Amino acid sequence: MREVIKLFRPFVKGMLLIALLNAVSTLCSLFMPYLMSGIVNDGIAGKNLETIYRLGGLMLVLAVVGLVTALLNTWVNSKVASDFTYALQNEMLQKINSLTFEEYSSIGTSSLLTRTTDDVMTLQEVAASLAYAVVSIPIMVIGGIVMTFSQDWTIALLMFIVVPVALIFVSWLAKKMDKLWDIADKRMDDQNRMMRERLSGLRVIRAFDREAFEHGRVAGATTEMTGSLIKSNVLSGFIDPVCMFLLNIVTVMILYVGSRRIAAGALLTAGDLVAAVQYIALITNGLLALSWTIAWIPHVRVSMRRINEVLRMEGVRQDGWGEKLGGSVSLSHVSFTYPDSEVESLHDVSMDIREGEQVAIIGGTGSGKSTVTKLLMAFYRPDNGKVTLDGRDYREVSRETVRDNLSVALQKNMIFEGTAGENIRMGRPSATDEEVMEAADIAHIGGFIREQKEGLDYRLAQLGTNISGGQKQRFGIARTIIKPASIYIFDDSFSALDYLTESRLRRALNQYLAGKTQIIITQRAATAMRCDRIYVMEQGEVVGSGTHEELMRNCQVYQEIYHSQLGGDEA
Amino acid sequence: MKIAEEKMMEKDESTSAETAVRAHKMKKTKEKSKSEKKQAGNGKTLIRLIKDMKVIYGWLVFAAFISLLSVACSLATPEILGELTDKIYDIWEGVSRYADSDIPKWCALLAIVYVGASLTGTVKMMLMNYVVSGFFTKGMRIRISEKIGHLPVSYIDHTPNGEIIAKMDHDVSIMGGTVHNFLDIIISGVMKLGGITVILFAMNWTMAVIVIILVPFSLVLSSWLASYSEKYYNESRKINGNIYALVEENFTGFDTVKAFNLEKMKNDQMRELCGKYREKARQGYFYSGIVQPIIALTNNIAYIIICILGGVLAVDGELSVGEIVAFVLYAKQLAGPLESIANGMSMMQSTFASAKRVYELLDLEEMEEIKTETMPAGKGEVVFDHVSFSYDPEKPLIRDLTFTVKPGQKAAIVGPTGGGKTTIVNLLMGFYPIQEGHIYIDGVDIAGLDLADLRSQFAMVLQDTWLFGGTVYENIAYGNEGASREAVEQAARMAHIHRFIQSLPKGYDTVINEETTNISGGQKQLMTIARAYLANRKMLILDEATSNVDTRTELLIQDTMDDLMKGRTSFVIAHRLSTIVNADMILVVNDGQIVEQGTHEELMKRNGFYTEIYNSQYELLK
Repeated sequence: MREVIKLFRPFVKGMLLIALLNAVSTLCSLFMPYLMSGIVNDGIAGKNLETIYRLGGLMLVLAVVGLVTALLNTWVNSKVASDFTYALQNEMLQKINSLTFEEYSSIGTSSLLTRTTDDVMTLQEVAASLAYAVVSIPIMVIGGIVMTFSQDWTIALLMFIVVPVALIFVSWLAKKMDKLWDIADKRMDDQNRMMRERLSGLRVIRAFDREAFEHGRVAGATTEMTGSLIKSNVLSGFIDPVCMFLLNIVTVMILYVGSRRIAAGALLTAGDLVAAVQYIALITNGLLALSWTIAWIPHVRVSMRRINEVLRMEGVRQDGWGEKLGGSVSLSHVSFTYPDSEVESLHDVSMDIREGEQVAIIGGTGSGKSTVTKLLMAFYRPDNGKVTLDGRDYREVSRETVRDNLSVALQKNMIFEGTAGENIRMGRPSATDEEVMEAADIAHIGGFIREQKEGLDYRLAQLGTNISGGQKQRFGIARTIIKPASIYIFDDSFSALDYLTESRLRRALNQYLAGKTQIIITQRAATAMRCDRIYVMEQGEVVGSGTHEELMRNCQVYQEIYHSQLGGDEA
Repeated sequence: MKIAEEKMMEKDESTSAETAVRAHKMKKTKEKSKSEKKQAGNGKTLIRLIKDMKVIYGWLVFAAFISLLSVACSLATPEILGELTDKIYDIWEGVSRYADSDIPKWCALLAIVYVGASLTGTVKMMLMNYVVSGFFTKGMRIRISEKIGHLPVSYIDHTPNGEIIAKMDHDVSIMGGTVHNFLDIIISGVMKLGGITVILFAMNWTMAVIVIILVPFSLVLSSWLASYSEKYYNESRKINGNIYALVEENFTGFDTVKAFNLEKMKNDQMRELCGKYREKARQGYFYSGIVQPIIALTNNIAYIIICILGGVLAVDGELSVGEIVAFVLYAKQLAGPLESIANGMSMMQSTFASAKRVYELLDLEEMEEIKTETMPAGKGEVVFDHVSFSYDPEKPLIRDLTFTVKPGQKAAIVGPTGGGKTTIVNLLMGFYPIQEGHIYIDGVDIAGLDLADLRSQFAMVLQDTWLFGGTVYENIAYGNEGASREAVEQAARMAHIHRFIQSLPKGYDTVINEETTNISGGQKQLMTIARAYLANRKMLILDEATSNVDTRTELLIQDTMDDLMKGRTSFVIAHRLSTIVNADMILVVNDGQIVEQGTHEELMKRNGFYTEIYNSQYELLK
């Protein structure tokens, strides 16, 4: 928890102020019944109107002081809560953006997403209600007991028995509830997942006339879900009535015991008894709030732990870039296994790519060809062997320098919410509109941009949902080539293009990137065959390298790929 | 959680530009009609909701009875407490003696009433949970699930999955919540409110008037403040949604962010949004935070007035101490029902919205299923006779399509994306009703055929492989229940996936679910090929059936595919032209029409559109 607590530190002063204000306003409400007992004892019994007015006036003062402190408290509290969230959110995102891929994938995208959103919101709630939970509730409960004590110790003793019992019951219930809610959540996910599955498989289901069966499956999941929902709802429904009951019984006992003691001539007054009854109401409220806080603690703990896990990660310091290196790159005897995998993805891979060369890496799915991209981009470090850029070992240059000299069009092209121009310009922030359009034209997306009446200001939706897969690929290519680099990698970047478009695009590309190193990763023989050299990969190993003609003579895997795609007849 | 859900829905909504536009159009018309007859609609929805509660009427009456008991108990307690206080006061004053005061009796009575209140409250809570969740919401959800089975494909195609799931999950929950609160509002709320008012006035006019004015005043004030805080809360929620979107984008494109050194840019964007959020969240917290103290103040004032006024009256002997205590307690109880009524009212709006969304789905027109004509025992001749079809009247998708496929022939459909290839399959299998013309299978117009019977003629393998969350065995045997283990294994062997399945830790009993990552897209597609093989239907549809399979594996299963198609009328859609050169007939489709038709050789001789497509794949080699 250390990292999270560290973040709280700047807010300690504010928190202390909140605690103080909270204490004052709680004490104000705590003294109300005490004053009322005075009215009963001295005012009514003593038939003294002046005392009644004086004590009533005092109550009014307390009420107003209570209001003012509460308002101030709210003001400071809302500021602290929102400032803390701001600090936490920024800290989280900056940390995550500095993570290495090993660290990143050890948690995973969807979990990181919930950590930066849901978990942060949970902590925001903590920051907002911490003072109330830690200061007000105890003051209310303990103060209530003390006030009762000051009136009569026998009565207070009763509280000492009942309050712990209520607390133990509630925390036991909370623990159980937590588990049940988890199960209910899971069951709800099950139902929704089955429904989603059913909706997406509609055609197959209808073709096989299985709607009734699928309905049965969903209905079964709904029934299970209902069962666990009822269980958890009923259990959490017990908290209120049980706590109320326990404290109500205390009321009865206080009245019974109190009346006997008064009759026996103890120092107890009727007003004290009236006050005691009201303190019980206060304590009840405090206890109920406390019980919900207790029920909430496991969630907070989980969120805290999850956030802490992120903040504790080391990440990489961004230690400057800008060093320009040449366009030769090599892998020598590189082996690599993904952190979450047991199977080696690359085994003893060596490649040597010289400046200005155009090299293809070909292979089927799972051959390891995209892993090569990830090592070249310094997303991961190889387990064995070394990668060098312009003769420099990757371990000696910063990751930023590597990424500054290499430009990549990734297989999964990311379109960010923003304009078409912004998306391309990410490759080179200083590019002029003309330069952006030039790159767009080469990537065959210029026509699309011109068709839009907003031109470069055309807004692309998040993840590029308002354009097609092919268009996304072409935006990615434009972004990649506009970036000034010495090596350009195209990872399966032409797969959504038809052959005619691809050949035109590649021709324009060769002119635009003349003299630069190009690495083309592909499944298509037709894409690979025009390159200076081709590396053939299968199951994480290089099984052949050379020109198309050489490989057609001596590499069986390559021949098979070629024939399976282009048939026997060569045009 | 909420945000995530909504985000997911949004994402689904925009899976294709077309769907998005359609959804937008629908929304527009919806908004219009909403403003026109919002009130009338609400009334109708309410009546319908009440009608749908029919299944639980009996239980509700029972629960109402228990609720009444519980209200009675809680109304009785201040009275008894007041009585007890008076007796104790008298003893303290020395007016009466303990032995004469039957205090123990009253204490016992109080205990009984407390037990009664807790007991009735608990029973009501359990009853309502069981009844509402077990009958009402569960019934609603099952009705929705049932309905899905009877809806036309077109509706589900054009409705984001997330929207349907949200209706079943979230909207039904909201409806259930209101049904749950129904009793609280009517019995506990109204009855209690009335009861307390009557009692207060019976006890003392002046004080009753003050309490009755002050308590609602604090509620009005607080709900006014709450509306303020809600405004900021909504704004902050919206910004929060933006933050979520930004973070999601950042994380999804983590590799791109790294590759282009965009970390700083993303951090700056984030900081700006978080700054906006901070402002709104602060205001939201403030306005919602001051509600409680202000209510407390007005309650305190009421309390003080009761104390002072009650004290003065007590000195005059017009009121007893016990009555003051009772008054204080009643005044405190007054806030409860008022709050539950206010909450219920504010929940009504969202309930109506949810109920409308659910009823909209339940009211959708179902597919006609009265057609009973069954398939003749033909051999699978398919005739398209001047067929026209469109989703959108302005954009005809299939225009005047006419062709004949003889029994056992392999017909390939080629053409650019969006030209209508898949639509032809959709029409053939009756997923969409055609608007003009006829489709005949073995001489029978499919318009009159029982859909299940029609579809039982086909086996299909699609580009989007669909496997459900069951075992590998169940998935291959899908639609052929009771297929023997041997038959399933044989089918898998034919699809060249048997060895892979055996290599899985649990073999054919491996459960396929979202966490299954060790099965590739290609392997999943091979399983669906095995499924089609096992199904052994008269006709076959292969829509990009090997698109996820490695080209070399594709070569391996070529024989299986040929075997599969032998003797069956087959429709093949493929963009890899090598797989279709041996088709008996190639239909070249563009813009919803057949532009060319014939065998590979005939079409190549023509030197037209087909030749152009065919040659383009060799363009790169030049």
